[in-house]
Order: sequence, then C-alpha cells, then structure tokens
Amino acid sequence: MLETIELRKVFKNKAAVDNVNLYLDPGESVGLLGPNGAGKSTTISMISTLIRPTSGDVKLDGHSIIRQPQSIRSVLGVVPQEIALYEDLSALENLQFFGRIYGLRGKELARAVAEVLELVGLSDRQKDRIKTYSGGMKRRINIAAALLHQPKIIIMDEPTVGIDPQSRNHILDTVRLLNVEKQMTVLYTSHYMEEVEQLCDRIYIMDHGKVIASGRKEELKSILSAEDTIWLQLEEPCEALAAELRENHDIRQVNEEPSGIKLIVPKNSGILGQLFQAAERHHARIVNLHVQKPTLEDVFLHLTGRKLRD
Amino acid sequence: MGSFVKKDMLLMLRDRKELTILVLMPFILIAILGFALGGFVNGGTISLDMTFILVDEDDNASGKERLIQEIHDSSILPEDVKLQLIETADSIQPREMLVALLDSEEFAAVGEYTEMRLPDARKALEREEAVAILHIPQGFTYDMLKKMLLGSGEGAVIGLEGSATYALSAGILQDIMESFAYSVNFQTAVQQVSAVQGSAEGIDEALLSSNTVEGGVEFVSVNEPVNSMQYYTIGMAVLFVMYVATSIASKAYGERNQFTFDRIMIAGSHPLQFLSGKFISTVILAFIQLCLLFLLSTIVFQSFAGKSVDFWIGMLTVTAALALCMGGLATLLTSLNFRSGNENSSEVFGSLLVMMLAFVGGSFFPTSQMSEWIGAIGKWTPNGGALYSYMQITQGAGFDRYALPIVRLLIMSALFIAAGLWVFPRRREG
Repeated sequence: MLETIELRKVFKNKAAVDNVNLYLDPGESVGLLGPNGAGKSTTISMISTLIRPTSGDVKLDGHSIIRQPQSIRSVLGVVPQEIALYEDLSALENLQFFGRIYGLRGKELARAVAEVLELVGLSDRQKDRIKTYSGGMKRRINIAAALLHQPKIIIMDEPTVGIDPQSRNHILDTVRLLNVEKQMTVLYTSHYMEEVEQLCDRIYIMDHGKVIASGRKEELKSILSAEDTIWLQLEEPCEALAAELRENHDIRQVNEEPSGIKLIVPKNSGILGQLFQAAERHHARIVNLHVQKPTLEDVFLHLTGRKLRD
Repeated sequence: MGSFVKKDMLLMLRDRKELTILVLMPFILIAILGFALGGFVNGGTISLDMTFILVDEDDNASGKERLIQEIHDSSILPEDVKLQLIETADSIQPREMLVALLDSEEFAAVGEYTEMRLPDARKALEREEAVAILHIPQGFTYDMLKKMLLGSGEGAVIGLEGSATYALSAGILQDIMESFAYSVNFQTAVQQVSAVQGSAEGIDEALLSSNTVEGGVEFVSVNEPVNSMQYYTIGMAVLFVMYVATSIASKAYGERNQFTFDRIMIAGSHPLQFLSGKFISTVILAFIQLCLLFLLSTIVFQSFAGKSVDFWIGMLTVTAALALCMGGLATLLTSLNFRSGNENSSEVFGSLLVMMLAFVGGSFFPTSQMSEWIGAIGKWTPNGGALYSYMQITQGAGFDRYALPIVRLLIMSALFIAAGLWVFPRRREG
C-alpha cells in the first residue's frame, strides 16, 4: 500500500534519514521505534509530503507521491507530535476549519466533526477554547483533526508525549479501535517501546537516521534469544562495580541506571556467582536481582548500546 | 478561501492585545495629539513659520471713489443719509486692516508672506513653496462697501487656496482669516448702528454676542480647513493600519511554528492559498479598522461630522486602496518570515520601520515641518500617500486631486504581492 524506497534526507551535510526502506500493508499497525533524533519525524514528514526527500521515493499503491503529493493527501491523516491546533479557537471551530480544508461542507462536515469528537470523548467540551484544555485533551483533539476525512492511513508521531496516564490510555484505545474496528492502516512512532509493543504488529527500529532492525515483535526479540537480561538493583549506585563488570568478557553489555545495573549476558552463563563476588568487593549492597525476558528496549540496547530514552 | 478568512478574523477578534494595539491605542493617540495640537494652535505662542502668498488685485481708492459717486448719484437716499454713508465709507478701510494684520508683530510670529500675481502664486503653491494663497480679488473694497452700506450686491470675498501638503498650516491661516472677516463685519455693523442712532449706545446685545455678524466681507476658502483632530485621526489611522499587516504576518509565522500550517498543507491546500488568505484577511481587517477609527473619531470628537456623501465616498475609496496595499504588505512580510524561518521581518517592520514610515509620511507632524526631501519620500510611502489623499478629500478636493496617490497605493500593493509570491517557499526543504 505505502512504501519508502531508499528514502534519504540530508540537512547541512548531515543525513537525518539515511536510505530508509519501509512498507505498510493495508490494515496493518506498524511501529516506528527510536530515540529522539533518530529520524522518525523527518521520515514521516517526507511520507506526508511536507518535506521533499534529498533522494529516494515514497510510493502509494505503486505510484510515486513525490511528484504527485496530492494523491496521498486525501487518504492520509497525520497526527503531528506538536499540538497543531489554534489555541484561541474552540475544538469545534478547529475541527470545522480543518474539515473545510479537507473539502467537507454542510451536513457532511457536521457529521464528521460530531463523529471524531465522539471518538475522542470530547463532545461535551467542544465549545471550549483549546487553550483551556489539559495536555491530554489537546492531544485527543489533535488526533480528531487528522481523522475528519476518514483517511485510509493514519500516521501518528509521538501522540502521547507529555500527558497523564488516563489520556494516554484513551489515546491508545483510540488507536486500537481505528486499526481493529475501522481497518485503518496505522504507522505509529514513539520512543515508548511499551506503546509500540502493545499496539503494533510489525516494528521498525531507527537510530541515527537508519533502520537498524525490523520485523514482528517476536522476531525482534529473538535477536536476544541467546541472551539473558539481568537486573541488579543496588541500594546505592556503584560506578566501580559497573566498571569491573564492563571488564568481564562474559558480560556482553553493562548499562548503569539510577537504581542499579542492567546486564546482557549469554543464556545460562552461570555468572551470578561472579556478580555477588564483585558486589562484595566494592561493598555494593544488592537489594534485588532478577533475570528478565528480553524487551524491545533490550533489543534496542543490544543493537545500539544506548537506551531508547537517551 | 472563506475558511481561511473566517479563521483569521476569529483569531484577531479574540486577541485582546492586538485589538488594543489596532483600535484602542490609535484612538487614544488621536485624542491626545488632537487636543494637544488644538491647544498649541489656539495658544499661538510658538512660531509656525509658515510662508504664504498674498495676491492683492484690489484697487482700494478707485473702488471707494466709485461707491461714493454712486451714493452721490442716488435719487432715493436723503441728503443727510448720503453724507453719513459717505463719511462711513471713508472711515472703513478693510484692505488696509487686512494688510495691517498681516504686517503686525503678532502675525509675524505665525508666518510671513510675499506678494505675487495670481498665476505666479499658483505655480509657487504647486511647487509647495508656500502653504496657501490669500487672494484679495478685484473690486474687493467696492463690493464690500456696497453690500455693507447699501445692502446690495453679493459682498466681497477673500479667497484662500491651501496646499494639501500643508493642510494643517493652511487651516491655521484660515482660522485667522475667518476671525478677521468677523471682526471687520462686526466693526462695520457697529458703525452702521452708530450712524443711524447718532451714537454707539444701545447696540443690540444680541449683535455683540452673535458669532455670525452679517456684513460685506465674506471669507471663502477654496479648500476646506483641516483641524488638528481630523489631521491626527487620519495620521494615526494610516500609521496603525500598518500594524494589521505586521500582526497578520506574525500570526502566520505562528501558524508555521505551531504546525497548523503543516496540517493545512497535509490537508491538500496549496501554499499560495494560505498566502492568499492572509492577503484577503488583511484587506478586510485593515478596511474595518480604518472605518472604525474614522467612525469613532467622528462620533466622539466630531472629526468628520456633517461631511457630504461625496466626502465619505472619497474616504472609502482611499480606505479600500490603502487596505489593498496593506494586504500586499502582509503578503510580503508573511513570505519573508516563512523564507527566513523566523519572525524578524514582521518584528523589525513593526518595531522600527512603521515608526520611520509614520515619521516620513507625516503621521506625527505635517511633512511641511520637515525638509522637502522627507516630504517627497513620504508621498511614496503607503501611509504618506494615503494621508495625502485623505487630506485632499477633507479639504473638499475632487477625485482628480487624489487619483494619483491612489494609483500609487495600488502599484505598491501589486509590487508587494509580486515580491511576496516570489519569496514565498512553495515547499519546505526542511
């Protein structure tokens, strides 16, 4: 349905997006996972025809949209990372304005506005100005504005950044509903791996402008099938302990966190004894220890040596 | 397009800060400057240093002789009345009174005059070498005395032709001349009553308190006067209308920053549709703002009260041209903001250039108070051109007198739009 081919964007001699290939099949929910600055938003901007690529192509049903941007705009809804709404207009006025820009008029417009307000659960606040809304409510109207013309594909760029858990759950439920019940194709970008894990069938992991891994959740996690993740919770941080563990060739990755150390080690490595001895040497008191199943976060850590939120 | 315009209108109406700048502030400034300058004119303590031309075509002596002869020859008038009238005619010297006024020390504080023939005077006025022509026509003394003493004829007329550029100074001269005409008429009326009653006692109190003493001298201005309230209503209106353009351009950049512009583009609108929306919104808002200021000033300060339909048609014509020019300016500033990726263009224009244009265009002081080259540049600024046109209309000039500035405004509008279209980025490169 939608694919990018060797998509590349260079800003001031630096490649923000570097030969990205991805595709979306109809009805799929695809995640684009990566830390801030990975190139997700630039990729989305090129797909939504806001930015012209330096090279490469974006095709919709086999036709290039670089030369014919209008062809994708009628079937594409984009929820930007920012609250792209007029703060001094009410939710209703915002939606009516964007609806008219999409070519909706009269009853058709009124019906579309009522439907999206109902979908995001803000019908009762429709006449209030956006500036009076909470962050979560603004995000919900931000989504509603992208759904007015009933697009086939919806691209959501970090739609849950900086909001309360209740609004976040509402948004995640909405995305699920759009994908499952309304059969919309979803491209969901986030640096919250748990959201992508919950919502998406397939995932692309981006870092430094490149897709570094892609596949179904299980396929990605299988990258770490030969490894265990050990979480060592300490009473106090201990840099000396982390430094010693980094020198240990049996440990593949050491990542310090405020409350402890996360280690990636070969499966059944029998390393626990060494860990306790090292902790004793550095007078580090272990509060808790458990061996985890690999998460997408671990996959990212494994692939890049960095955390998603770094 | 209607959606863009409606949205811009709503956003502007809900922005109290902008509304204060666009409507309340000019209104307050009209009041302050209008009243302040009114006091300054009435106080007459500061030299206005205006130069005007006196065209004196009257032959005072022959006019008086001719009238005395007519009184002599009259078969209707009794002899004693004839003698009284001749005596009165001899004692009244309106032309000398006027010249004495112009030569007085008090008048020297206001300005100075040179005498010329009428054709030369008009050429000098065109060259803006003087603020006005004061015209004492042929037969002035005769016509005045005939009307005054015999009650026949149309009376005499002192004419004033003012320069539009120096409308305010010409207005001051007009006030002085009106005062002079009143004084002469009043004095004559007293002498007439004295002649009939034998003394000045018993003159009707109503005559003394009257502001409209009927007499032989009438003051007629070729140009209607412009008072300080009118001047500053126009001056502030043409200054603050430029803030509509900067405000729209800044808000447009805000749309780019807040990604609503991106959303509009994703929805399939062409960037030029967005830009056209800015043009139309500015034109409408500028038109409304100007009309509102003129209307408020008329209601509260009586600035243009009682003006003719032709006057208002003229004002609306210039207002429409100025609004179109502001639309063009908003288009250009929006494009510059988008092209440069920051708000500097509209901010610099709003904070610095507007004030410079206001100064050069004569919003604060008539350009006659400044050097000639500033006045010449001022006419080529949107506000200066519009101010000149409004002044012409306020002085009662016909369309031919303000057609050229209107054409200039339309040319400026077209140039701004063309530059805006050229500069506006069609598609973001990043």
